[in-house]
Amino acid sequence: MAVNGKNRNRTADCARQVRRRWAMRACLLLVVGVAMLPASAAAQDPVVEREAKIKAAYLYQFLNYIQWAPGTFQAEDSPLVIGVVGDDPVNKYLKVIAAHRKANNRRLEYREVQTPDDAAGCHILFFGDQVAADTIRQYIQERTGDPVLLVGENPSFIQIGGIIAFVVADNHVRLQLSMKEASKRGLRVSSQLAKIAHVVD
Amino acid sequence: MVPLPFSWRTFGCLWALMAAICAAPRHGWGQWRSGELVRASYSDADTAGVAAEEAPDLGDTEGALAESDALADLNALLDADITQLAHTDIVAPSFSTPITTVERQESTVGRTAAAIYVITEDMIRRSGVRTIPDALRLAPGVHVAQIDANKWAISIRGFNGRFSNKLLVQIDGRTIYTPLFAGVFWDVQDVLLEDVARIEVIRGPGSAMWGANAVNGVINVITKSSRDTTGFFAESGGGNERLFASARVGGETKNGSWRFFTKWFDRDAGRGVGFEPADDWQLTHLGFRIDQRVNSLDEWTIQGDYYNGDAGTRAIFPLATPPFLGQGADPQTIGGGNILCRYSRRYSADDQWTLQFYYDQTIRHLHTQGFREQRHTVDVDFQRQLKVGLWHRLVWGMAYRNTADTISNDGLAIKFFPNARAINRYSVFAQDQMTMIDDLFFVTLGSKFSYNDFSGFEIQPTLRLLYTPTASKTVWASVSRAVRVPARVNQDLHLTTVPVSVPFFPAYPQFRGDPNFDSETLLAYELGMRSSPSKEFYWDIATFYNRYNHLDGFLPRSPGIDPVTGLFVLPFQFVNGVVADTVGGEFTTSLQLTDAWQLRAAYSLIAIDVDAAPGVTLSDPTQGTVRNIAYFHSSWDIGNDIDFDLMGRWVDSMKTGNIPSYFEIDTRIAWRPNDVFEFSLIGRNLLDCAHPEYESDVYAGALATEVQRELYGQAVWRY
Repeated sequence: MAVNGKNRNRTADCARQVRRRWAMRACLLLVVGVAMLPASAAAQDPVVEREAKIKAAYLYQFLNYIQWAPGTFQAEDSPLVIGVVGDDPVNKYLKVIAAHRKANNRRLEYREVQTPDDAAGCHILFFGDQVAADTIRQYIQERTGDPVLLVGENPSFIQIGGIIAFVVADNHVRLQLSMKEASKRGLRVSSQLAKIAHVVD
Repeated sequence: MVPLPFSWRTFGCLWALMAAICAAPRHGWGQWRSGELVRASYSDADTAGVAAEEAPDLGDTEGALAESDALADLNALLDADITQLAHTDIVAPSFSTPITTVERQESTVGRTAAAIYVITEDMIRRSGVRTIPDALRLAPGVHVAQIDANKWAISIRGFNGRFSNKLLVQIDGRTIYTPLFAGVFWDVQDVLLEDVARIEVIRGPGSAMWGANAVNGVINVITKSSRDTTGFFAESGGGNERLFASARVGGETKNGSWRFFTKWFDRDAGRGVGFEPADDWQLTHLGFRIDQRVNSLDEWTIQGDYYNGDAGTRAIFPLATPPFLGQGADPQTIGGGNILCRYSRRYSADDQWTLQFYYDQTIRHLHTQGFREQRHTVDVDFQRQLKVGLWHRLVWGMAYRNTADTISNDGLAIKFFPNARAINRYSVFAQDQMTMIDDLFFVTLGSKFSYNDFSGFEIQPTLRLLYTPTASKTVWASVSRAVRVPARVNQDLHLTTVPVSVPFFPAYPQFRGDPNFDSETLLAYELGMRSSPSKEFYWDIATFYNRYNHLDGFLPRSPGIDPVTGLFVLPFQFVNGVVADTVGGEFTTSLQLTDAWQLRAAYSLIAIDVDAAPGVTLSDPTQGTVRNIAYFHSSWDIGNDIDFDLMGRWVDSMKTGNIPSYFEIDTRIAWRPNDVFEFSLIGRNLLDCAHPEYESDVYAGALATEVQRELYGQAVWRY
């Protein structure tokens, strides 16, 4: 014989009803409490996670620590082109940065790259976390020798032929750097950047 | 009908308090980051960006965009020195503690819509504990009661007992609760604590991810990768209650790493009140782990354990002939081994899969009572996680487990019918974490669907909301359904206990399983909040309201002659005849007073109301629930080479067995003369010569012993 909760006696049911009423009131309070949250949140710091922002800031700062080979820029006022491959939370910040900031007295141009051909003329190419290793490999091969700083988040980004990889560890965004790949593309990395990065080769 | 020990009014007040805290102006309680900030969502940021198109050089003018604070923060980062970027915290430090248990993927405390607590490597070391149960005392909401030197009753959010059955406990992905009674035999759950990376303790159901038994909580012991345990480690020590020695060696290979360890201990019996205790405990344990990288994406791990020992007990048991009641030392032999293989491929943090297989064997032999159980378990588990579009983080998986036991029905007391049974369990689960508003509001929807031979098809869904207004504040809520599937005892037990009305005419109370016994169910409502108003201060509050249905109870049946034993018995049968409500919460806080001095404190409160169906025996209206538990821990570094820790815990009285409340102090002082050696002195339960934490167990006939004051010294060598 199985007895289940429906067979409770009447007094228990009665007591439960009273308690339910209190439960309703508690829920009401809860709703009010939650409704008050945005008001207090309005006075708070807006970000939950600064990972994407920190990465975007790095990408912007790289512009000051990388020297492109002479002749990379056609004119004195040619823009610095930042290309992004794949959807990534970093992109929206890059877009805003490109619209409002300058680096080395050059305008910044933000470009969403769909194919390896689109990537021609980019000075920085950022591969979002979503981009598969095979796709990255394809881009790197098709743009062999181009003076472009390849930055990515894939765990094997450096092995594939990338130059700088973002590594999230201990609540910080750290850098992995391949000097070999950088020099292959005629980029000079300042010693200051090399100092804060983990130089792989 | 038991009156509710605290009223809904109190619960309401608690909520009012929380609402008030939420609504408090930020200036009232510290500054997380400087600057007069106005919240702007990213869509605001984008429009602001468009609006400011006319002011191109924002860096100089601090123009229109600066009003939007998402970008004020960005500007600060853009103008920071590049070396500063490398040291910028992604989230508030106490929020960044990594966890994997809640969503079966890497996440952080700050991003979790569940009541999570992480016992870190450091906390384990600094508390000086030697066993997993003692380490669990460090977590809020966990009630650890030592029954004797090798047995514990451990539960989360009420319902404690030697055979408490509502927790899912895992060590490195291997489930360790036994389907015999759906609880854990803690005497064989041993790890080298030095190699534990962390213990994640989740209060509340984790059933949508982990399935049956993750009703009141999930405990996940996670050991370090062998990459992090290279070199030599040895420790040895002893005191008035225990002796122990362990050693580990680890190294690196071309593409991987390995470790091997051995461990031995001998634990002295507790204090017997009116009897000679026999609960000594010895265990020898060998283990290894190998981690190997196959290529840039793939990795495998193989790990295994073998252990063997004795965990004695002073037992009382029925006899068929005068004097009808036996008492004696029952040396219990325990042993087992397991091997686990895991293969994983990781394309990126959001795109990976894992395949895991393990085989586990356990043997347990109560010599005097004539109970011998041998169990083999095979488990295969696959899990895939991927990101779909920008907003969906998906995890899904499937699993199969077969667990087969053979029980010798040699003794009079403990019998199972059938005496051998194999149980299959198939399950699939899927969970989607949806980003409703970037970095602000997330909804998680998931469910486990499983089939098991005991109770058939089970569905265990969950809905979780996560609201993260700032980098240092999280509010979450959840509704979940969980089931505790029947265990062997519920369906197949035939337990005869010591007789009543001796010596004239012995009548033996007998507890019988019922093949129709069905799953116990829980509907849980949770609401919590955590905040780190400054880097030094962190607090977390979690509240719950749980409704249990179909809980196990005993239905008296008509007395008569038992055909199996030929004795006159008073039978009680397992029925799903009890309902219960629990309500309560836990508060946890940590405060870094100075660089060298940290304080941690926790308090948990729970009230329970239990109703039984007519005729169902309700022996314990509190179901082993302890209403208040408080804990504090002070960690002080005296210079660079001395640690001084002081821990206090207060546990309320336990109605079950009339166990009085107790307050105890533990302490540890350690000295590191150099990087190689560490010497420490640990004192536990210092305030009383001995104190009881749990009652003698009438069902399995184990006499409880009291926990004694103890002192032990320890020397550690790391190289």
